[in-house]
Amino acid sequence: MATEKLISDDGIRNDGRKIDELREIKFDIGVLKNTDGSAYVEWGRTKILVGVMGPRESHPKHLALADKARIDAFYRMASFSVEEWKSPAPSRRETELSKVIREALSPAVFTEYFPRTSIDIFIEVLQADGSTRCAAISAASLALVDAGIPMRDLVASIAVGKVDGQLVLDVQDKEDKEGESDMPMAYMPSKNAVTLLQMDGQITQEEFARSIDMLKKGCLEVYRLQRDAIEAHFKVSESSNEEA
Amino acid sequence: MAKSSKDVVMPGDELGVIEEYMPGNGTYEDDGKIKASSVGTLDLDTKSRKAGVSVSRKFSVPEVGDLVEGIVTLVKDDKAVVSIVGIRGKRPLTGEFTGELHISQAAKSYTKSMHDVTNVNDRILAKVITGWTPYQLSTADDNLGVIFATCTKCGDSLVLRGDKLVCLAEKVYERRKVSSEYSLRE
Ligand SMILES: [Zn+2]
Repeated sequence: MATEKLISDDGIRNDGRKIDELREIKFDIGVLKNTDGSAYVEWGRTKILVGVMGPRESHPKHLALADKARIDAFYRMASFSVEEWKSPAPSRRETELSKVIREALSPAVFTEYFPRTSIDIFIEVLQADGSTRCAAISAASLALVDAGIPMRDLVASIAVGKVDGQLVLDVQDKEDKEGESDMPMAYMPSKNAVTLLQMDGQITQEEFARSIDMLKKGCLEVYRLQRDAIEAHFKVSESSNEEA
Repeated sequence: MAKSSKDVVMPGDELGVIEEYMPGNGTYEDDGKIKASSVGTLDLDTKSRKAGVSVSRKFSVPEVGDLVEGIVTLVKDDKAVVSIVGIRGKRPLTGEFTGELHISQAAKSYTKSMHDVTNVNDRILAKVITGWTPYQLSTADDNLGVIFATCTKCGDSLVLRGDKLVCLAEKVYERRKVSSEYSLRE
């Protein structure tokens, strides 16, 4: 259990946020040269780089799907991304998160346009301070857009946790480790469809309902920032095209 | 409709309803609504009644009708295997796609063997005629076929003399289905 309180009596969390406040989030699009699409996000102290390769021919060929593109995600944490040096060997957690992230993004992608190809999403966590899967999903969705892959919607993601008996939005590492529960969600805002909902720990039915409300609101805030990043990037690239 | 043609639209944005418009480029239909599937600017054509997206950044995958450049990796009697390395008018590829040129698609006139059409390591310009890998290619049109080749014996670049390829070092001709865009002329 927590030795110090994570939320003060006047409702302020130990990093200065209110219980329903996001950390500062900044997305950048098109940051890598040797990929088809890329994005970088700073989400509080969490820093993640995403590169998308594809649609490209599947290798080995027998893994190709006859009627749609195959999507794979590769979530990796840099050894220096956490306080206790992480072994460079892939961990079970990385493999699991890769699968979760792939499943959260797949419903948004028109994979049926690209039979027998692969779309590979490489996620490099440079610094981890909680909610890395949410940050990764949100940034990967922008990298897919940057690759020019047709999508039904953007995918925005956020987590709600329970800390000192209260529900808090956008869980940082300390709150994740010392809190009572963690519930990440990924969401396609304009389709109003949830693509991922996980639950770790225990909450009441009433808290669950309130969490869903908070998660949707949080996802919409992330979505607004994703839109701003797309607008900023594609306005710039359009004017630079005119110069060329 | 809130969107104007200057606006950046992005996946999921509603562009119109199916009663008013047909879904154009970069869109999809979702429950009676036309939505953007790609980033770009809104392209509303009131004459053809199409709502589309003038796409800012498009994936680079061969599509039917595309002109592609490739390197021939294998030649059999009835077909050649081609590694597609670029698509004209699209972003550079980060990988390669496999294409096949069947003898029936190699030239307008009768062709006896693919060995008369191309050789391993030739660079060819071809049109894509099917929608997935291995992409079927055609070199029948005049502008299509070999655009660069080297001599089978000495490796020097072959040069176009009239409508034939010649090695200037050995003064021998080699058989190819030559594109009108062949890179080296005498
Ligand atoms: Zn020669």
